[in-house]
Amino acid sequence: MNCRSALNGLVAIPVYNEAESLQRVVDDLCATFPSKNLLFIDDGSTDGSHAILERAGLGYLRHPINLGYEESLRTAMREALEGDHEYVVFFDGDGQHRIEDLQRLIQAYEQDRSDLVLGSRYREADQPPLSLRSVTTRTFSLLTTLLAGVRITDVTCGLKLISRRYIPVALKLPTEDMHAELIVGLARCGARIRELKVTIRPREAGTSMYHLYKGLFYPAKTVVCLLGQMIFYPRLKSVVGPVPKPRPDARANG
Amino acid sequence: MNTQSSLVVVSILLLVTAWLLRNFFDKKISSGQTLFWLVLLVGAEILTAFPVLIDRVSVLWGNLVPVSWITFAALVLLVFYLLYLTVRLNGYARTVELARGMARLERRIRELERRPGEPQQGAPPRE
Repeated sequence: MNCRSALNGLVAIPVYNEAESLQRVVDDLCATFPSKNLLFIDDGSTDGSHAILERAGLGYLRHPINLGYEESLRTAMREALEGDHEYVVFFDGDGQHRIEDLQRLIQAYEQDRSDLVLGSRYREADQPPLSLRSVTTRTFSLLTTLLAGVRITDVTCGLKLISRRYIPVALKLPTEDMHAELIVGLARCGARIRELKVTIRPREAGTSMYHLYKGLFYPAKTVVCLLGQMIFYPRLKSVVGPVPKPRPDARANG
Repeated sequence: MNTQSSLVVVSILLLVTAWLLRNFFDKKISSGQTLFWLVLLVGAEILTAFPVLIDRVSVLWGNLVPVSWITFAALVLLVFYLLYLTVRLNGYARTVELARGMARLERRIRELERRPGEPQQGAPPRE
Protein backbone atom coordinates (compact mmCIF):
# COMPACT_ATOMS: atom_id res chain seq x y z
CA MET A 1 0.00 0.00 0.00
CA ASN A 2 1.29 3.43 -0.85
CA CYS A 3 -0.19 6.26 1.23
CA ARG A 4 1.47 9.18 -0.54
CA SER A 5 -1.78 11.04 -1.01
CA ALA A 6 -4.01 9.72 1.73
CA LEU A 7 -2.61 10.44 5.14
CA ASN A 8 -4.34 12.57 7.75
CA GLY A 9 -1.81 12.07 10.49
CA LEU A 10 1.74 12.85 11.40
CA VAL A 11 4.43 10.19 11.36
CA ALA A 12 6.98 11.26 13.98
CA ILE A 13 10.45 9.76 13.91
CA PRO A 14 12.66 10.49 16.94
CA VAL A 15 16.32 10.29 15.98
CA TYR A 16 19.37 10.25 18.20
CA ASN A 17 22.75 9.31 16.75
CA GLU A 18 21.28 7.02 14.09
CA ALA A 19 23.39 8.18 11.13
CA GLU A 20 24.22 4.60 10.08
CA SER A 21 20.62 3.47 9.74
CA LEU A 22 18.83 6.77 9.13
CA GLN A 23 19.32 7.01 5.37
CA ARG A 24 17.39 3.77 4.81
CA VAL A 25 14.61 4.89 7.15
CA VAL A 26 14.36 8.24 5.33
CA ASP A 27 14.29 6.56 1.90
CA ASP A 28 11.66 4.02 2.98
CA LEU A 29 9.41 6.60 4.59
CA CYS A 30 9.74 9.15 1.76
CA ALA A 31 8.86 6.45 -0.75
CA THR A 32 5.69 5.65 1.15
CA PHE A 33 4.38 8.84 2.74
CA PRO A 34 4.15 12.49 1.64
CA SER A 35 6.95 14.43 3.31
CA LYS A 36 4.48 16.92 4.78
CA ASN A 37 3.26 14.05 6.97
CA LEU A 38 6.74 13.15 8.17
CA LEU A 39 8.40 14.84 11.11
CA PHE A 40 11.92 13.80 12.05
CA ILE A 41 13.02 15.02 15.46
CA ASP A 42 16.76 15.03 15.80
CA ASP A 43 17.30 14.95 19.54
CA GLY A 44 20.68 16.67 19.59
CA SER A 45 22.57 14.01 17.61
CA THR A 46 26.32 14.43 17.40
CA ASP A 47 27.00 11.93 14.61
CA GLY A 48 25.72 14.02 11.71
CA SER A 49 22.22 12.52 11.59
CA HIS A 50 20.79 15.97 10.87
CA ALA A 51 22.97 16.25 7.74
CA ILE A 52 21.12 13.23 6.30
CA LEU A 53 17.79 14.93 7.00
CA GLU A 54 19.06 18.18 5.53
CA ARG A 55 20.23 16.44 2.34
CA ALA A 56 16.85 14.75 2.00
CA GLY A 57 15.20 18.17 2.01
CA LEU A 58 12.82 17.16 4.75
CA GLY A 59 11.20 19.39 7.31
CA TYR A 60 12.71 18.37 10.62
CA LEU A 61 13.17 19.70 14.11
CA ARG A 62 16.53 19.61 15.78
CA HIS A 63 16.80 19.93 19.55
CA PRO A 64 19.96 21.91 20.32
CA ILE A 65 20.71 19.50 23.18
CA ASN A 66 19.76 15.90 23.89
CA LEU A 67 16.45 16.06 25.75
CA GLY A 68 15.70 12.35 25.72
CA TYR A 69 13.34 10.03 23.87
CA GLU A 70 10.25 11.09 25.77
CA GLU A 71 10.77 14.80 25.12
CA SER A 72 11.13 14.03 21.41
CA LEU A 73 7.75 12.32 21.52
CA ARG A 74 6.29 15.34 23.33
CA THR A 75 7.72 17.66 20.69
CA ALA A 76 6.05 15.53 18.01
CA MET A 77 2.70 15.54 19.81
CA ARG A 78 2.77 19.30 20.16
CA GLU A 79 3.52 19.63 16.45
CA ALA A 80 0.62 17.31 15.66
CA LEU A 81 -1.71 19.41 17.80
CA GLU A 82 -0.57 22.64 16.20
CA GLY A 83 -1.09 21.18 12.74
CA ASP A 84 -4.36 19.69 11.58
CA HIS A 85 -3.32 16.06 12.03
CA GLU A 86 -5.89 13.52 13.15
CA TYR A 87 -3.29 11.43 14.92
CA VAL A 88 0.38 11.09 15.58
CA VAL A 89 2.20 7.81 15.05
CA PHE A 90 5.67 7.15 16.41
CA PHE A 91 8.21 5.28 14.32
CA ASP A 92 11.77 4.69 15.53
CA GLY A 93 14.64 6.13 13.54
CA ASP A 94 16.96 3.18 14.19
CA GLY A 95 15.58 1.06 11.34
CA GLN A 96 14.04 -1.59 13.59
CA HIS A 97 10.44 -0.81 12.67
CA ARG A 98 8.95 -1.92 9.36
CA ILE A 99 6.96 0.33 7.05
CA GLU A 100 4.39 -2.46 6.58
CA ASP A 101 3.67 -2.46 10.31
CA LEU A 102 3.36 1.32 10.33
CA GLN A 103 0.83 1.10 7.51
CA ARG A 104 -1.10 -1.58 9.37
CA LEU A 105 -1.30 0.64 12.43
CA ILE A 106 -2.64 3.50 10.33
CA GLN A 107 -5.11 1.17 8.59
CA ALA A 108 -6.30 -0.13 11.96
CA TYR A 109 -6.91 3.43 13.11
CA GLU A 110 -8.79 4.30 9.95
CA GLN A 111 -10.95 1.19 10.26
CA ASP A 112 -12.21 1.63 13.80
CA ARG A 113 -10.83 5.01 14.97
CA SER A 114 -9.14 3.49 18.00
CA ASP A 115 -7.62 6.14 20.24
CA LEU A 116 -4.41 4.26 20.89
CA VAL A 117 -3.03 1.64 18.52
CA LEU A 118 -0.01 -0.20 19.84
CA GLY A 119 2.50 -2.44 18.14
CA SER A 120 3.39 -5.65 19.92
CA ARG A 121 6.29 -8.00 19.32
CA TYR A 122 4.83 -10.68 21.53
CA ARG A 123 1.23 -10.87 20.42
CA GLU A 124 0.47 -14.18 18.71
CA ALA A 125 4.13 -15.07 19.09
CA ASP A 126 6.41 -17.23 21.15
CA GLN A 127 7.62 -15.79 24.42
CA PRO A 128 10.85 -13.81 24.07
CA PRO A 129 14.12 -15.28 25.34
CA LEU A 130 14.73 -14.58 29.02
CA SER A 131 16.57 -11.31 29.64
CA LEU A 132 16.32 -8.33 31.98
CA ARG A 133 14.35 -6.41 29.36
CA SER A 134 11.96 -9.24 28.52
CA VAL A 135 11.23 -9.88 32.21
CA THR A 136 10.59 -6.15 32.76
CA THR A 137 8.38 -5.97 29.67
CA ARG A 138 6.36 -9.04 30.67
CA THR A 139 5.91 -7.81 34.25
CA PHE A 140 4.75 -4.38 33.17
CA SER A 141 2.56 -5.81 30.43
CA LEU A 142 0.78 -7.87 33.08
CA LEU A 143 0.50 -4.88 35.42
CA THR A 144 -0.78 -2.70 32.58
CA THR A 145 -3.34 -5.34 31.60
CA LEU A 146 -4.64 -5.35 35.19
CA LEU A 147 -4.74 -1.56 35.55
CA ALA A 148 -5.96 -0.71 32.05
CA GLY A 149 -8.46 -3.53 31.70
CA VAL A 150 -7.20 -4.32 28.21
CA ARG A 151 -4.91 -7.20 27.31
CA ILE A 152 -1.49 -5.73 26.60
CA THR A 153 1.44 -7.94 25.66
CA ASP A 154 4.19 -5.45 24.90
CA VAL A 155 4.29 -2.15 26.76
CA THR A 156 7.70 -1.04 25.55
CA CYS A 157 7.16 -1.13 21.79
CA GLY A 158 7.92 2.28 20.29
CA LEU A 159 5.52 1.86 17.37
CA LYS A 160 2.28 3.42 18.52
CA LEU A 161 -0.46 5.72 17.29
CA ILE A 162 -2.37 8.25 19.40
CA SER A 163 -5.49 9.98 18.19
CA ARG A 164 -5.66 13.77 18.32
CA ARG A 165 -8.31 13.75 21.02
CA TYR A 166 -6.00 11.99 23.48
CA ILE A 167 -2.79 13.87 22.74
CA PRO A 168 -3.51 16.54 25.42
CA VAL A 169 -3.91 13.75 27.99
CA ALA A 170 -0.63 12.16 26.92
CA LEU A 171 1.09 15.53 27.23
CA LYS A 172 -0.33 16.09 30.69
CA LEU A 173 0.50 12.72 32.21
CA PRO A 174 3.71 12.14 34.17
CA THR A 175 5.41 9.49 32.06
CA GLU A 176 8.69 7.67 31.57
CA ASP A 177 9.15 7.02 27.84
CA MET A 178 5.34 6.86 27.34
CA HIS A 179 4.93 3.15 27.87
CA ALA A 180 2.85 1.46 30.61
CA GLU A 181 1.86 4.72 32.29
CA LEU A 182 0.59 6.18 29.01
CA ILE A 183 -1.51 3.10 28.26
CA VAL A 184 -2.98 3.04 31.77
CA GLY A 185 -3.63 6.80 31.70
CA LEU A 186 -5.43 6.71 28.38
CA ALA A 187 -7.40 3.62 29.39
CA ARG A 188 -8.57 5.44 32.53
CA CYS A 189 -9.83 8.24 30.28
CA GLY A 190 -11.93 5.81 28.30
CA ALA A 191 -9.65 5.58 25.26
CA ARG A 192 -10.22 2.64 22.96
CA ILE A 193 -6.99 0.67 22.81
CA ARG A 194 -5.96 -1.85 20.22
CA GLU A 195 -2.79 -3.89 19.93
CA LEU A 196 -1.41 -5.27 16.66
CA LYS A 197 1.28 -7.82 16.04
CA VAL A 198 4.41 -6.23 14.61
CA THR A 199 7.85 -7.50 13.76
CA ILE A 200 10.89 -5.70 15.05
CA ARG A 201 14.06 -6.07 13.00
CA PRO A 202 17.29 -6.65 14.88
CA ARG A 203 19.35 -3.50 15.37
CA GLU A 204 22.03 -3.20 12.70
CA ALA A 205 23.79 -0.08 13.94
CA GLY A 206 23.91 2.29 16.90
CA THR A 207 23.17 1.41 20.50
CA SER A 208 19.90 0.82 22.32
CA MET A 209 18.78 3.46 24.80
CA TYR A 210 17.99 0.63 27.23
CA HIS A 211 21.40 -0.01 28.73
CA LEU A 212 21.93 -1.65 32.13
CA TYR A 213 21.53 1.57 34.16
CA LYS A 214 18.26 2.50 32.48
CA GLY A 215 17.09 -1.13 32.65
CA LEU A 216 17.54 -1.14 36.40
CA PHE A 217 15.84 2.19 37.10
CA TYR A 218 13.12 2.03 34.44
CA PRO A 219 10.75 -0.18 36.52
CA ALA A 220 11.05 2.08 39.59
CA LYS A 221 10.44 5.21 37.53
CA THR A 222 7.44 3.64 35.82
CA VAL A 223 5.93 2.66 39.17
CA VAL A 224 6.45 6.23 40.44
CA CYS A 225 4.74 7.60 37.31
CA LEU A 226 1.82 5.19 37.73
CA LEU A 227 1.42 6.05 41.42
CA GLY A 228 1.70 9.77 40.66
CA GLN A 229 -0.98 9.39 38.03
CA MET A 230 -3.34 7.61 40.46
CA ILE A 231 -2.72 10.11 43.28
CA PHE A 232 -2.57 13.42 41.45
CA TYR A 233 -4.98 12.69 38.61
CA PRO A 234 -7.83 10.79 40.26
CA ARG A 235 -10.33 12.25 37.78
CA LEU A 236 -8.23 11.96 34.67
CA LYS A 237 -11.26 11.56 32.46
CA SER A 238 -12.12 15.25 32.97
CA VAL A 239 -8.94 16.17 31.06
CA VAL A 240 -10.40 14.73 27.87
CA GLY A 241 -12.26 17.40 25.99
CA PRO A 242 -13.41 17.83 22.43
CA VAL A 243 -10.88 17.23 19.67
CA PRO A 244 -8.45 20.18 19.90
CA LYS A 245 -8.44 22.57 16.95
CA PRO A 246 -5.19 23.38 15.15
CA ARG A 247 -3.44 26.70 15.75
CA PRO A 248 -2.97 28.22 12.29
CA ASP A 249 -0.58 30.90 13.55
CA ALA A 250 1.71 28.44 15.35
CA ARG A 251 4.06 27.66 12.46
CA ALA A 252 4.25 31.27 11.31
CA ASN A 253 5.35 32.39 14.75
CA GLY A 254 8.00 29.67 14.96
CA MET B 1 40.70 19.63 70.29
CA ASN B 2 43.97 21.26 71.29
CA THR B 3 45.15 24.67 70.07
CA GLN B 4 47.39 23.17 67.40
CA SER B 5 44.51 21.16 65.85
CA SER B 6 42.24 24.16 66.04
CA LEU B 7 44.77 26.23 64.16
CA VAL B 8 45.08 23.60 61.44
CA VAL B 9 41.29 23.34 61.02
CA VAL B 10 40.82 27.12 61.02
CA SER B 11 43.62 27.47 58.44
CA ILE B 12 41.96 24.91 56.16
CA LEU B 13 38.58 26.63 56.56
CA LEU B 14 40.15 30.01 55.78
CA LEU B 15 41.72 28.56 52.63
CA VAL B 16 38.35 27.18 51.53
CA THR B 17 36.78 30.58 52.27
CA ALA B 18 39.42 32.31 50.15
CA TRP B 19 38.84 29.80 47.31
CA LEU B 20 35.10 30.42 47.55
CA LEU B 21 35.50 34.20 47.41
CA ARG B 22 37.93 33.92 44.50
CA ASN B 23 35.34 31.87 42.55
CA PHE B 24 32.66 34.36 43.46
CA PHE B 25 34.70 37.28 42.15
CA ASP B 26 35.50 35.29 39.00
CA LYS B 27 31.71 34.93 38.58
CA LYS B 28 31.90 31.14 38.74
CA ILE B 29 29.63 30.87 41.80
CA SER B 30 26.45 32.87 42.24
CA SER B 31 26.03 35.32 45.12
CA GLY B 32 23.31 33.20 46.76
CA GLN B 33 25.45 30.06 46.81
CA THR B 34 28.48 32.04 48.00
CA LEU B 35 26.47 33.52 50.85
CA PHE B 36 25.23 30.08 51.92
CA TRP B 37 28.71 28.55 52.03
CA LEU B 38 30.23 31.69 53.52
CA VAL B 39 27.82 31.58 56.48
CA LEU B 40 28.67 27.90 57.01
CA LEU B 41 32.41 28.42 56.74
CA VAL B 42 32.50 31.48 59.00
CA GLY B 43 30.30 29.63 61.51
CA ALA B 44 32.65 26.64 61.45
CA GLU B 45 35.66 28.92 61.85
CA ILE B 46 34.13 30.67 64.88
CA LEU B 47 33.15 27.36 66.50
CA THR B 48 36.61 25.91 65.88
CA ALA B 49 38.36 29.00 67.23
CA PHE B 50 36.09 29.20 70.30
CA PRO B 51 35.16 25.60 71.29
CA VAL B 52 33.42 26.85 74.40
CA LEU B 53 30.59 28.07 72.12
CA ILE B 54 29.94 24.48 71.02
CA ASP B 55 29.43 23.44 74.65
CA ARG B 56 27.12 26.39 75.28
CA VAL B 57 24.97 25.58 72.24
CA SER B 58 24.88 21.90 73.29
CA VAL B 59 23.44 22.94 76.67
CA LEU B 60 20.91 25.22 74.95
CA TRP B 61 19.93 22.36 72.66
CA GLY B 62 19.11 20.12 75.60
CA ASN B 63 22.40 18.88 77.03
CA LEU B 64 23.37 16.95 73.96
CA VAL B 65 26.89 15.66 73.52
CA PRO B 66 28.60 18.35 71.37
CA VAL B 67 29.52 15.85 68.64
CA SER B 68 25.89 14.65 68.40
CA TRP B 69 24.68 18.22 68.14
CA ILE B 70 27.10 19.05 65.33
CA THR B 71 26.27 15.81 63.46
CA PHE B 72 22.52 16.40 63.80
CA ALA B 73 22.74 20.03 62.69
CA ALA B 74 24.94 19.12 59.73
CA LEU B 75 22.57 16.35 58.68
CA VAL B 76 19.50 18.61 58.81
CA LEU B 77 21.32 21.28 56.88
CA LEU B 78 22.47 18.85 54.18
CA VAL B 79 19.01 17.35 53.74
CA PHE B 80 17.47 20.79 53.26
CA TYR B 81 20.26 21.83 50.93
CA LEU B 82 19.72 18.69 48.84
CA LEU B 83 16.00 19.44 48.65
CA TYR B 84 16.78 22.98 47.54
CA LEU B 85 19.19 21.69 44.88
CA THR B 86 16.60 19.15 43.68
CA VAL B 87 14.09 21.94 43.14
CA ARG B 88 16.71 24.07 41.37
CA LEU B 89 17.74 21.17 39.11
CA ASN B 90 14.16 20.62 38.08
CA GLY B 91 14.10 24.05 36.51
CA TYR B 92 15.05 21.67 33.67
CA ALA B 93 11.52 22.10 32.29
CA ARG B 94 12.48 25.62 31.24
CA THR B 95 15.54 24.29 29.41
CA VAL B 96 13.33 21.83 27.53
CA GLU B 97 10.97 24.62 26.48
CA LEU B 98 13.89 26.78 25.36
CA ALA B 99 15.38 23.90 23.36
CA ARG B 100 12.01 23.25 21.73
CA GLY B 101 11.62 26.93 20.88
CA MET B 102 15.10 26.99 19.35
CA ALA B 103 14.35 23.89 17.27
CA ARG B 104 11.23 25.50 15.85
CA LEU B 105 12.99 28.77 15.08
CA GLU B 106 15.84 26.91 13.36
CA ARG B 107 13.33 25.06 11.22
CA ARG B 108 11.71 28.35 10.29
CA ILE B 109 15.10 29.77 9.28
CA ARG B 110 15.84 26.68 7.17
CA GLU B 111 12.49 27.03 5.42
CA LEU B 112 13.14 30.70 4.69
CA GLU B 113 16.67 30.02 3.48
CA ARG B 114 15.72 27.16 1.20
CA ARG B 115 16.24 28.34 -2.36
CA PRO B 116 14.70 27.14 -5.63
CA GLY B 117 16.58 24.18 -7.05
CA GLU B 118 17.11 22.63 -3.64
CA PRO B 119 14.89 19.73 -2.56
CA GLN B 120 11.51 20.97 -1.37
CA GLN B 121 9.08 19.47 1.11
CA GLY B 122 6.66 17.18 -0.66
CA ALA B 123 9.15 16.40 -3.42
CA PRO B 124 9.15 12.84 -4.74
CA PRO B 125 11.82 10.60 -3.28
CA ARG B 126 15.20 10.47 -4.93
CA GLU B 127 15.98 7.29 -6.85
